[in-house]
Amino acid sequence: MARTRVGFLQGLLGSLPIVLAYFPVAVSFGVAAGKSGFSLAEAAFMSFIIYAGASQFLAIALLAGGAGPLLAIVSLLTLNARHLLYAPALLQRVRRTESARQLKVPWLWAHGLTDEVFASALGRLAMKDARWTESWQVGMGIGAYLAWGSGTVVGALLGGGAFERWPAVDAALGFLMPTLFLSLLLAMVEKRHWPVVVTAVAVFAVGSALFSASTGILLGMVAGGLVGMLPGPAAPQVVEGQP
Amino acid sequence: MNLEFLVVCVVVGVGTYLFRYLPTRIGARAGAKALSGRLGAFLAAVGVASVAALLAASLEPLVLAAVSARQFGAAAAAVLGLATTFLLFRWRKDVALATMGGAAVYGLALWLMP
Repeated sequence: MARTRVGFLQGLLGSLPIVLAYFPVAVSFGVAAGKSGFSLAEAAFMSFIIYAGASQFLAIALLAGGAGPLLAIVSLLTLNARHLLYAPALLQRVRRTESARQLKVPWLWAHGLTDEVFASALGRLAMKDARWTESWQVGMGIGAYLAWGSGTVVGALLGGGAFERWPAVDAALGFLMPTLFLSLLLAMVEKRHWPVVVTAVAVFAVGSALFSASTGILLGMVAGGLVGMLPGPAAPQVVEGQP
Repeated sequence: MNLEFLVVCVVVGVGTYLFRYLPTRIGARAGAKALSGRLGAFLAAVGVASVAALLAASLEPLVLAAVSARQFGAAAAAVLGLATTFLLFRWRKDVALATMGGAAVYGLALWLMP
């Protein structure tokens, strides 16, 4: 029986759904960064070096809100620490398949192991001819990475005031953040997460009223995470469906 | 690009890369075991909690303006935009479509309001 090739090109082509999903969200990030006072170079630099959507939105909220660098670093790393879960979960499945072998370039594809790329790799491993190669993973990662970076550049150009003469468009761009966060939340949340969501929002409101919006975000994030540790409804979830 | 911004991006970027890369070096089983239990639950819940807090933070200026300056037009447009996002997501399960659609309805509603 002929076997399906699972190489770089197949990975790159397989990244198309992620490319289509990432690009507009990255445009939203670029717009939000531009409207928060960050330059095109800063927005692009952040997207290419951090490459983690939710934490980039948190970064611009914190830095534009005047949070100190140490506080920003600790909170952003705490948020991104969930990526520790992905490689073990992926490799556990890879090693069950006949294509399992010694890894040669994990340093290359690891940078692209975002929520959606990880989920796509699991999808590939769930197929009938469950084959996975590092070159497929590199192709998948590069497609998604370039979409995120290029979308940020386009968004930062738009967010720099290019649409000020069209108030409806300018207002719509300014409202991208609430609609993006609501969409991401709807994509991530399950019934068992509601205690986490309610706690995060309530603690944000108190923290923001007493201190500042950026402190409120941090307190809400940590409080929600602690509620997630409680036994019962808010059990762990690995794939979260966010960039 | 100021130094503070540069340092935050580089430290978080390198840290995030290591979060993704280092578990490939320690073995799948050991990595999965180390991250199961309460630590894994905390890390997973932090993602949901941060997006919820960011949503609340992004809406805070609109809520405050509606309450203190009685800018109900913007608040009504925001409700329309968020409802559109919610319905589009329920319909197509597409983050990009729901995000763009909700923002477009907000912009149009604000523009059409007297």
